[in-house]
Amino acid sequence: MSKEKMKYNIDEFDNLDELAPGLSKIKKENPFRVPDGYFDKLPNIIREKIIKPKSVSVWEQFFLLLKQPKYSVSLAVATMAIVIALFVFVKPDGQEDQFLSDITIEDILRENPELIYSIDESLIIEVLLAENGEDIRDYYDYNIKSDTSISDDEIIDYLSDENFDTELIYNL
Amino acid sequence: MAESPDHKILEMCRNPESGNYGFNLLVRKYQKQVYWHIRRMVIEHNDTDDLVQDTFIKVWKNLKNFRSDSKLYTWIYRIATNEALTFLKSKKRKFFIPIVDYENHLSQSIEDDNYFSGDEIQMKLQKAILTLPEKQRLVFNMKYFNEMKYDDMSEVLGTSVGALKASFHIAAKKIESFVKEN
Repeated sequence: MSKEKMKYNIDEFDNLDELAPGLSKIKKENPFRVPDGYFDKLPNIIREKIIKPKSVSVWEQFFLLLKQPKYSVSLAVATMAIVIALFVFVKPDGQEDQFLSDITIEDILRENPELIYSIDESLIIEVLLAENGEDIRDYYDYNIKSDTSISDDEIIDYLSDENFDTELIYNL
Repeated sequence: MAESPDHKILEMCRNPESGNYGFNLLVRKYQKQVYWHIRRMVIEHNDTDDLVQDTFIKVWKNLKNFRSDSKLYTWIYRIATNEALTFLKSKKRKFFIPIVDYENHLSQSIEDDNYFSGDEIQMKLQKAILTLPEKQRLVFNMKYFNEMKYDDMSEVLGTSVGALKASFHIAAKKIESFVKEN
């Protein structure tokens, strides 16, 4: 299509009669209403808000402060540091340790089944093996030897089935 | 009373002695346009009321930064548009409502709205508009209801005139087919 023809078509987009004849027949009116006297009162309401800004409580100020990236990042770092410090420096006195060791991955997933989707599979395998007294490193060789490779043709077939951009597929 | 031209209003707003009066004139001049622009996007009156107030408060706070190389009314529209879009985004994020569902919620709220007085065909038209993506909805409303020039819309939305025309074209076609099918 030539550029001139294209321009002509775009300019025709304004013509609603041709573009959408059904829509052009609908009477153009505003179906929404406002409470009586709304627009008479509004300028004063705005004026008052400008003169007397909404009072903000201490807690609101605190949370507003936390919304700022520099403070939220600092808080996150501080929280992580506290959690790490608790794990590293607090000596287990037995009871807490016992309590933590009593919790299995099955218990956690029973309580929060959605967690299964956010956990790295290798981590789950590692924990499950550890619960049985096994070490994931014992399985490394097995994984390498096993035939898990996928051919390019299989990848392209998959992408085609998923309606991926053909250009992307051809560039593989 | 005849409306003051924008440059007079701006002059008054920037003068400490006439600032309040000037801003009052500005609000009175643009409140309806801003209100209807936002209302068509967020549908509910109470939400619109809050956003209109926030828009004018932002206008007041930023008047000193307003450069006269753009029109006052497109600048105000841009603030109002940002307020409406930010509100819609926060609503969807806050309640974890997928986009389609939130538009369904708005569609339902038209039916329950005490401040909606349109007939069946107007209701259908509003519901059809709500099926459009936000940006297309903005473009359609600004062109169809506000009869805004594409050049001004381009200034408000930061989109090329060609893209706006194409967007309006697609929106009108979608609405046409929605109205026919329903």
